Amino acid sequence: MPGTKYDKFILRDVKAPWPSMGPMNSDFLGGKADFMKNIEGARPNFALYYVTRKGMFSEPPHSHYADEYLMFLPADPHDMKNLGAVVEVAYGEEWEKVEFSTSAMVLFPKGIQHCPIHVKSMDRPFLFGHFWPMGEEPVMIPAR
Amino acid sequence: MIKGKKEVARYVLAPEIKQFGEWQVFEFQGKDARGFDFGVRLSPVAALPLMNEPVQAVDADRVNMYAGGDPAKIDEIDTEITITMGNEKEDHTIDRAAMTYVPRGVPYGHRVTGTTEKTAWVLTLTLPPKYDPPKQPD
Repeated sequence: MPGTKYDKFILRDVKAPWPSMGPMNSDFLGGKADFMKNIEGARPNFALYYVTRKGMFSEPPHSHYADEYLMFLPADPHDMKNLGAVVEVAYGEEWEKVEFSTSAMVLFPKGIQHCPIHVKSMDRPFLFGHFWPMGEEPVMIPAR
Repeated sequence: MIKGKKEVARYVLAPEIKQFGEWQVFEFQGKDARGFDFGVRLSPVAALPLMNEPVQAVDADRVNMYAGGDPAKIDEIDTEITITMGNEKEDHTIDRAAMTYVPRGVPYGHRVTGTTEKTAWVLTLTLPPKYDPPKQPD
């Protein structure tokens, strides 16, 4: 219902291609700057898309000034525990690795270097996205 | 399965998986750097009627993202969802990928008004209180 009180809080144009990520991912769903201007409360800073094949994410090792979460969300509504893929995430300057195959929220605490992220194997695509709980604009600090 | 040294494995956090009929829902509760709660929930659209949540206000800002079940057509949700917002009970129909923002204290609820033969999703983020980052010096 355009022109109504709450219509400004409904964004119907959320899809964007993400060419830099190539065929590893689906199109990308996220907010748009014009829509965010309508929001006076907490700022949602997140995205959602599918990871569709194994391989390395393109982000080089880096850190941030704020906590970031990555959402690893299974795409089988009957089996939301198993991710359907094996993922390896590296932390710190030594690239200390953690591997998981279950659904997860992966925390990157502020100041802690992270990446690369490697989807080592895949049985089925999964939903994925970043989430900044406090809504900060992410600043990528390249690894030394 | 999580493998890795404790120092880094502690950053891989498990959700709670809830069962509604044949459908499962991903739920995660966390705290931001200030100690305020936030929540992440991924629901199959087919689970919404079984969750049976009334139109109600919550004490937090919320955002919902509606997504399709086919990675090649993430914007096609193949169903219809009505979100009712406000004391005015405004109905808004969602039939493609979309995002809705529900300010703190505004009553809202979802009704699935289309078929659920194909998978579609609602990602709901319950946000912590607004954060105003410190102003940068000129």
